[in-house]
Amino acid sequence: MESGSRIASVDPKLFEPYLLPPADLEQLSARLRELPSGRILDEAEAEAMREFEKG
Amino acid sequence: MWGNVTYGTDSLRRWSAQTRVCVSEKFDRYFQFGVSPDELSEQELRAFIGLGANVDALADAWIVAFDERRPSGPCKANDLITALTKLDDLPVPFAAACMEAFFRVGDRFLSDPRNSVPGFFSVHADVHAIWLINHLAKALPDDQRETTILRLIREGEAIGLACRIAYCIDRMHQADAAQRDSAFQDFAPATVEQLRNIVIARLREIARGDGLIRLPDIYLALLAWSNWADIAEIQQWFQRAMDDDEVLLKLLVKSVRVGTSYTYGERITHRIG
Repeated sequence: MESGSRIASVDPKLFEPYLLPPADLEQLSARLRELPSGRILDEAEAEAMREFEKG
Repeated sequence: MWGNVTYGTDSLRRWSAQTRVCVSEKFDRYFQFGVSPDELSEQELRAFIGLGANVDALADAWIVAFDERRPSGPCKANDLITALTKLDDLPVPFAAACMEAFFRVGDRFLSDPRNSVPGFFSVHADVHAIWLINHLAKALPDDQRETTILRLIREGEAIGLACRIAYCIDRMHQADAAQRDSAFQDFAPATVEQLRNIVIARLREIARGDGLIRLPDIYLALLAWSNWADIAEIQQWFQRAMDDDEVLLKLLVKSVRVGTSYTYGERITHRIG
């Protein structure tokens, strides 16, 4: 068996129980999309953003 | 000649503790001039246990072991945990002090993702920590076990570890929990309730500052807190976190789950960490 290659993922549903009603995942997603406009994301942050959007 | 003789996992544990040549990971040592610096030697293990009841020295030794990285990824502390959990005759003063030391510095071990042993059958750092604490707790006299765990979860600096161990003990006492060979299985329901309350109080305290986001596994803390208290409390905290760019990004980064993908011929297997 070859050595394993790294895979990363984010499940947006992880956040769902902790959102204060009436906030929902759509609002969280919109809030996250605001972030890159004001800063340069490092590698880990960019990966997390990408995986959140994919998830 | 060897008819009617069978050997089980207990034999393997005993042979490993006795460093016998028949144990695969000990075999090479019989044919080398010395133990590789990347392996835990029996001398190092004996020296660690020889620190006895000295909590400060044991905490320092754990930190040194956290910083000593193995070429395969994990650290010397992973090897120490594996070796200690194979020893069924640890002296009580050492077991108590070693546990106290780990409750002091253990969050450093849990915070480093490299301490999860890689591979298809990977072992997470927190599982290693649970094995260690469970094994050390087993070495304590029955009448000291619950009080010691209560004290360490209340006072240990490693709040992430305290949360992990309390959550593990709580899960063992759920109605649908399977019977396990654990020192925590026989804890009284009142003790488990106390553990939950201690952890909630500690999480509330650190949630006032930036302590929550600094935990090795904030999502475990949020899960435990929301299981054991009113979820509205956690939602209020999360709302404040969402308003802060730095905290929100840290929450997002900590939500990433990392796994590995293995290929063998045309077969691909995913192992989620």
